[in-house]
Amino acid sequence: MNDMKKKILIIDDDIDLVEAMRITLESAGFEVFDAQEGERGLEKVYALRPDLVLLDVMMSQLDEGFQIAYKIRTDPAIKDTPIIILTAVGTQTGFDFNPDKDEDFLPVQAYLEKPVNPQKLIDTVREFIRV
Amino acid sequence: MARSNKKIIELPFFTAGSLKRRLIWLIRIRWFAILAFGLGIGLGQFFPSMHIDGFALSLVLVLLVLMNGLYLFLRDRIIRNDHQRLINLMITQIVGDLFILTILIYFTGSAESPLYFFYLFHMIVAAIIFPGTRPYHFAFLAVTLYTSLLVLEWCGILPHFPFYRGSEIAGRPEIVIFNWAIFIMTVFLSTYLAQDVTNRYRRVRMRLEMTNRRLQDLNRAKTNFLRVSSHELKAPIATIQSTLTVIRDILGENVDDRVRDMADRAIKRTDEMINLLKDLSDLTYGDLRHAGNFKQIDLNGLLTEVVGDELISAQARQIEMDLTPSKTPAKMVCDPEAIKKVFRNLVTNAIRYTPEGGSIHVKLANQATEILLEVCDTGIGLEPEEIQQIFNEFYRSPTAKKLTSAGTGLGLAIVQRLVDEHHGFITVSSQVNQGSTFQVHFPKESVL
Repeated sequence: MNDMKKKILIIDDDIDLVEAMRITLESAGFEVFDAQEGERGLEKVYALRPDLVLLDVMMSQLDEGFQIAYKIRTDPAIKDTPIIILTAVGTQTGFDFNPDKDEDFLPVQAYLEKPVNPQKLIDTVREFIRV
Repeated sequence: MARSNKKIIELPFFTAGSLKRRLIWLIRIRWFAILAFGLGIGLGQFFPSMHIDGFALSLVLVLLVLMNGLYLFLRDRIIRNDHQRLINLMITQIVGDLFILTILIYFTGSAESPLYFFYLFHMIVAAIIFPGTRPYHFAFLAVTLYTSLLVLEWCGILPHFPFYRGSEIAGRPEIVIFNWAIFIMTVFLSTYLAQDVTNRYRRVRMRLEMTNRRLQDLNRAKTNFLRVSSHELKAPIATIQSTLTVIRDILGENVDDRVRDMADRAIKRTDEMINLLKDLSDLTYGDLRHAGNFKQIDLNGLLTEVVGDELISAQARQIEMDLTPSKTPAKMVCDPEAIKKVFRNLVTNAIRYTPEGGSIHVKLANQATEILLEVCDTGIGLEPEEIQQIFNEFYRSPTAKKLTSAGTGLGLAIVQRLVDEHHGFITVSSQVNQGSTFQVHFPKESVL
């Protein structure tokens, strides 16, 4: 049964948030892994081949999440991994980032704005996770 | 000090645009001068005491007409925004005028001619336009031309054209020399005075420019600080909220109701805090937005979207809300996100401060000079003295506070700011317990 569990990788440097999301997702029957920074996260994408990646935009660099998303999308070996971007940054905060426009260049499955409601997180993950 | 003054004086205060305006201004004035000269030549024929060589003068005027036409052609067609060439055209015009004027003075009696006053006009124009020593070059040229004319006539190389019949001025060297000396003084003094005034203006303008730049930098730093700090504050609050929600919704199945209640309260407060931080970053939004966000759009679409979104929360409180779109498309160049925020803040305010069973009318009108948004509610209303304050940051009227704890007091400050950025204005009319009407006026020809 354990082998059947879908694997989710959370890449986020906020360990408390990672913990909250881990409990949420485990309660919904997923197996959760995490990484606290982008490059380490990318290594885990190769090693674990997760069924979905939850990716924080702002880690040590402003757009670290986008860089990782770009690397995942441009490597044929892992490019089909579904990605959900987590962000505290929307258009209204004035950052030079606009999901409507950037979507064409960076095909990710969804943007979730923090704080993410647990049910919403589970629903979104279920919607996009690789079957 | 002297050095920095010099530096300022050497700075041209004009831009290519203002230079072009000066050029057309000079060309227009010249048309008037030509007309006035033509009339003068005609009128002069009726005064027997004046001797006017109509033919020679008319020829000079025709030459001037041709030259002015050429300047106009050059200004319009060949030279666009090339700064150096515009300056060259300006110099050509002034030098050309000085020569033509000298010829006119010659044909109107040289030393007797009153036309030498017109040299001063060019001295003042040059002193206003050009920084540095160039106006003095023109002054020197004017003096040289006028002096050469007098000397050449005096030596008999050029024949004298008397202007007033029987006048002996040309034959009396003391009068000619006295007039000439006064003329030279006047030319240089007016150049000096006109340039001195212009230099003062340049210095003030430069100081303003520097202060303005400094203020812009400071404002940018402040905005940046606000943006970064609201983001830095938001991240931990968001995590606190997620953690609390996990406690309540996932781990909390077997916990005491009181624990659940306390978690509820804490989550509600984090919600308020997150809304406040969102509003704070919205306040800085305009400062950081780039011009690319502006596009022409029909405001009816935006308003329909916003009213549609908010309809559920109106219905939840048994408030009737209707929307009257404008009869013709209300197209405007704007930042759609900003306009949506304006609409949303006004509509949610109306819902928030209207008691259950009330009604809200939202209307958009496409008028001759402006696009008018009207949000009219049957809410708690405002005292006249409150209307003055509702656009201030963090102000909430006492009645509003009593009614609901929701609301950050920043909503209308954001609305005001975004409307300002679109060169619009807001009017409010309200009666306590009757309701409020907010009108937003967007000018149609907004130059953005």
